[in-house]
Amino acid sequence: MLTMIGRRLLAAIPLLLFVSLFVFALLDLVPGDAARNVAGETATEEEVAATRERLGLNDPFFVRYFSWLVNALHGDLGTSLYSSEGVSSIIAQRLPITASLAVVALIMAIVVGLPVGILAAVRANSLVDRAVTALAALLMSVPPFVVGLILVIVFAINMDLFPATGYSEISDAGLGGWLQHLILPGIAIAAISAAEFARQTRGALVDTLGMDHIRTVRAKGLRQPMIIGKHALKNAGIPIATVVGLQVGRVLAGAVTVEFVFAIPGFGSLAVQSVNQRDVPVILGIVMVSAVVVIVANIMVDLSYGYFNPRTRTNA
Amino acid sequence: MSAPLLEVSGLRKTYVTKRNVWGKATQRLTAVGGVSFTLEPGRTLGIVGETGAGKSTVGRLVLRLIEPDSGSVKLLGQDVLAMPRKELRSLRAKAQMIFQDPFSSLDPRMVIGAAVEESLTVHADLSKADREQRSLDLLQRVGLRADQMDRYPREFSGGQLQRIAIARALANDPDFIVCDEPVAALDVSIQAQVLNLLLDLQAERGLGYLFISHDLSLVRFLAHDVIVMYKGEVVEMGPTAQLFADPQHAYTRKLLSAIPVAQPRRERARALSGAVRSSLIPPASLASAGVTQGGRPSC
Amino acid sequence: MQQATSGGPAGTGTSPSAEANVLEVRDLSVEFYTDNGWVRVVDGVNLAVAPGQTMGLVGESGSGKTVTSLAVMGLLDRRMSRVSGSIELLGRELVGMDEGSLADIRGSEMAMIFQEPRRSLDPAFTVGDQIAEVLRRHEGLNRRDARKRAAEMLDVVGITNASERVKAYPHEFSGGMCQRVMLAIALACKPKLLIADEPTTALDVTVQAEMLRLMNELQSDFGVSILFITHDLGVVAEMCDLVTVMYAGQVVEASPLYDLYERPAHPYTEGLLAAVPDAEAHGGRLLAIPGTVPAPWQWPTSCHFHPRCTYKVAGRCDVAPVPLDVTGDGRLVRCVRHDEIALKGVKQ
Repeated sequence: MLTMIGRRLLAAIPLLLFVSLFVFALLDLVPGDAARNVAGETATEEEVAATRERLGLNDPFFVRYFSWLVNALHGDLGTSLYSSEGVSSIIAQRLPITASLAVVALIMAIVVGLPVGILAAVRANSLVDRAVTALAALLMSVPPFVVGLILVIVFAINMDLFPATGYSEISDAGLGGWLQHLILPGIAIAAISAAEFARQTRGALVDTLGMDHIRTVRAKGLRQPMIIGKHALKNAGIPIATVVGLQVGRVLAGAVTVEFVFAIPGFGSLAVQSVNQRDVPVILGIVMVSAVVVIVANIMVDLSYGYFNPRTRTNA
Repeated sequence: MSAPLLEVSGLRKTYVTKRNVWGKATQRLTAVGGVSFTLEPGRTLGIVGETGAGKSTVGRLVLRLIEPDSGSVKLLGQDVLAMPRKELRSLRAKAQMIFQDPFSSLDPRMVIGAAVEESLTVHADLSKADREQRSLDLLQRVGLRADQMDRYPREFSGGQLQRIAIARALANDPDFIVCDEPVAALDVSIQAQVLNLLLDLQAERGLGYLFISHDLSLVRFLAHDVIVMYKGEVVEMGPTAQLFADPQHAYTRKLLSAIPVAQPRRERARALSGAVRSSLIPPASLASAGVTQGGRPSC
Repeated sequence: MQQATSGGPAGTGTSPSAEANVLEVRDLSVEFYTDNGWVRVVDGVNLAVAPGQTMGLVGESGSGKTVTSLAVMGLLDRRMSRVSGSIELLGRELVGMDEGSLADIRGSEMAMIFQEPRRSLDPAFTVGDQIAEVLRRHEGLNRRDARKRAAEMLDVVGITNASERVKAYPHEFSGGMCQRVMLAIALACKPKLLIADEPTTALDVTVQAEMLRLMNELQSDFGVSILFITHDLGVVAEMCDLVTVMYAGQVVEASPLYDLYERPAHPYTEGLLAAVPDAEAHGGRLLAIPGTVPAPWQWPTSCHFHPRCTYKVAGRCDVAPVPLDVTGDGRLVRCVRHDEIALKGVKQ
């Protein structure tokens, strides 16, 4: 077990390196001049040039990359080109907010997607199943921010059920207030994930339910709830768990645009903001943190396979 | 005395089952361990054994569908293992194979007439009309009708598909055919049809067969000579009638005694006596063959 | 000539005994919903199994034998199938029974083992768990007692070192051992009827021999009746007391064991016996039954077998549905000519 975790972590290192290099290079290619943004619109050419020098933006590509890398390995993600705050502290402020949003969204996606997928699988090829499949396909084609905008217009502005923007801490507004702010954006993000869950769950369950060992379980006299809940779901566990791992990434991506729509001061809106500002250190910090989160989530999913399918345990 | 169709000597094939960190093989499985035999024209050699005996592997090695580790294979007098690929292809026209699952050896998108035509590699110089005629002749010989030539594989039953596979195998006038469990997936009454066809073809064309099967009754019916394999080794070999009447090796005896006979009085008498099963003292080296004195199972 | 369409004497060759039959199937028909609409795949099956008896159910593909067994167990998909007729297990009518009551009977009064033992066990749970599960379901045992009984059952089916092996997973077992586990699961609650659907077809012949021997022993130990489904006439000869032969959805013959082999009553049975390569000397030909089994939507409305039958007579065999008759010695046969033709059995 430990060797498996160790091996996965080791494999993650080249991946992280590659991601950082790739994004660094990508940012370099993006038009726009950070120095000008920092210096301000009214700055003169000399002031801009001076700013550029100060920010070290004149150094060649690899020099800049390696100096960032070395610092990052020491835990120092640099400072924002804009606010001169440490990137790490900026991210640390914003991350918990997005984390709450992500958790709420993920829970919603599972709570809706899983049962719906089970229902569709159990009644495969019926009207219910076809309706679910069609609805899921529809939801998967709508981008989160569009869903978010629609939700805001309908529920926040027209019906005044939920606040349209902003975020409150649990410590300030209590659990109710905290949730209130997260429900609409949560739904916006969760919509696609729920659809994905429903589809994958349905597919995995339909396959599993057709298997010989489920027939044996039926022949033993077990009833449907046990058959589905104990046997079918465990056997379908691997594809379903895999979807969870994938959704972590998707939820983070969804957070970017949704936080913007709902004016939530989280990780996602930080990403939007820093890209607009060409604030390279912050962008890099965001990307690296996201990458680590997704990788860790997927390692945990990999480890769960051993629970679902004992055959994989011996071949870690 | 005509030359043997097939001469196999010391054929060996192992597979790697475990590698260490550096990729070096630390554990090997012997699929076939030093097998030797000869097949004469017009005769059938049966290879019999249970799962893991290596019999299918032998069939594939002989046609060089898998590369052996060592040993020699002479097909129609020619050394198969030393041959370059191109020559091998033309030699393969003379040595064909039919498999257990007839459906998977046919392209589902090709009508069977075209499938048989496609096998006519040796006669590539014939005109289109001649090739079609030849395909039709082959399909009719195996018992299908002209109007079925334009049908797709999915429209046929297992037995018919196996006959189509035989037609394809015959396309280039082969001298011998490796039959790997050709009737295992078929119903008993259809098995009989296919087996009769194989017998007739052998009588007509002097074909040699390497008949691989786990079913001893089939092998007893078809084969002139038999090889019994267990875990990659040849355990006993000889003329069929003799081997069945007087098996020498403990494993052969165990195998024979295990076949249920479709004659209830005989079968019940055997079961009662249990004589063949429990009175043998297996050679020490074959304790692993699982020959037990009744009681605990070997599986 | 007595006609037995539905009802009628259910046993064959056994005198109407005081003990009731464990299983009585009368006029069972099953229809499947296909692209061609509702299609009948099992047509008017009559079957009876007495206590402690082994009834062989023999047929090739398309005979309907597996569907019949699944209908008895109530394992057919209710949305895609329709079952009519009567299935009585120990006097209780199963056709039309609600799913809940059927689930109570499955695994406790009647049990089933299947053809591919490795695929029939759940790979995610230990072997002990799977045996314990059926005990907890039907006998309400707590976890610890169930586990103990599970280990005992593993021992009963001949698995060495049972107390350790109980914690193993199916993928650690060979095919033969998996089938033993299936037997342990099936017999744990001491059912009266065990349905075995081709239980040894996927096993090596030496493993098959041990498995059949085990089943015979367990039958006498547990006093269970067995409905043994197979296409292998050698296995039938070893295991069965009575044999029912099915062809294209219908029962064509039901006879005691020796009678079936030595004096078959139906041309199809004769053809099956002649097609077995077993008794033929080398060089002879096998008697093949010409033609192929018709698909359910191609069944003739008259005798299902007549297009392939060497004894057919135009005007008699191809005009009307043939009923299942009872012969003078209590056998069942579905043939208009059965008391005219003398069929060949196996040599002694």
